[in-house]
Amino acid sequence: MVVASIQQIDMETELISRAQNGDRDAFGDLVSKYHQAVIRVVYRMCGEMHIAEDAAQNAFIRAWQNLPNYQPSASFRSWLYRIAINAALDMLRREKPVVDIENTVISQSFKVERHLMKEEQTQLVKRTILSLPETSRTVLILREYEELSYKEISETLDIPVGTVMSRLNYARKTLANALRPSLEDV
Amino acid sequence: MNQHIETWIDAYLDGELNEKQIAKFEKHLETCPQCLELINEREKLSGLLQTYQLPDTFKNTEQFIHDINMLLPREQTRVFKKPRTGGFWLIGSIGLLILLTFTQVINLISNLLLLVPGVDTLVDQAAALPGLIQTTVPWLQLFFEQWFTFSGWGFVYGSLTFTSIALTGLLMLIYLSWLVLGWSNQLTQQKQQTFFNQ
Repeated sequence: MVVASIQQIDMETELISRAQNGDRDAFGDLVSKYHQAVIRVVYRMCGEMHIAEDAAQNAFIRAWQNLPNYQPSASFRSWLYRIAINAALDMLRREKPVVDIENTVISQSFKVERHLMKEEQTQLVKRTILSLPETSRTVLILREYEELSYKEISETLDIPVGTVMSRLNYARKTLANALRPSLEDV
Repeated sequence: MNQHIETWIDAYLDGELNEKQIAKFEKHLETCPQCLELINEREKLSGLLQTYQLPDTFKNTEQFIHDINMLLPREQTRVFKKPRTGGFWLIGSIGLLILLTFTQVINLISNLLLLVPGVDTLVDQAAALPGLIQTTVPWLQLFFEQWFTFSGWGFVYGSLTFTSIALTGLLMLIYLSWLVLGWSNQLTQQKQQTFFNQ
């Protein structure tokens, strides 16, 4: 198990090194490995498919362009997540989907009484997450969906672990307040 | 319940507490129904958040890689180290030239001193004293003497002019190396200029 993991790391290091020297096939292998992870992060940051696809595309193009400057001392996944999050935030600033937390809470309490359908509940969760400030939303996504440790989140976003904890706490508290009727239903 | 404990709840559920902290927190839970309730709520929240999944309609990875390959620019961005400015190389060169001139003058004066009547006797007397001056440029002379003796080429050593020649050669070598480095630095700057102008 450990040996397989070391071999995987070695393989990734080899791919990164080749891609840093302009090898497109090696970069293609890296894209293949991280495509789903990047899509997951950017989609949950944006909430819209077409924005997420463009953001993921931009993220990988930026990664390719900046790969020669990547220092192997940092985790490649963290480095890539950081690029992806920035690409998603840039796209969001350009596209600006409108999400209003007040309306979310009101419509939610209205719908809870009529037993929310699964899809409606998903939409509600999505809207509530998107209504969070970017900083706490990012931390929440990396923890809840990507299952990164506090230390990994801290490295990815270049913030102290204490800040990770307070942003995560703020995000969860806000979500719990906004989704309370749904939580009672769970 | 204060903010400190609430933050601990998140860390506890996320597996971020060490054994000592877990024991302390679990002890607290035994007497705090509010925290227990909050833990229950957080667990439900985590479950609810999992309903926010990705749609199945995203491009598949193969298609995505194909599209990305079409969009990748030819060049990657390389960050070059900031090259040294011209002043740095100039100061180094001038410094070496001053050192070279200084040692030449010292050697010249030393040799002129040897022409003064009676100096030979003084030098011989000094040479007889252990650990004291052996020649008119003793610091360098000793260094080279030890060097050659150790390598088995001690017989090469012995001429008073040897120090002067060796020192001059050494300094000239350093000076030439310095010039080569400066020239290489200039070439790097030109390459960068070409790269950024593309």
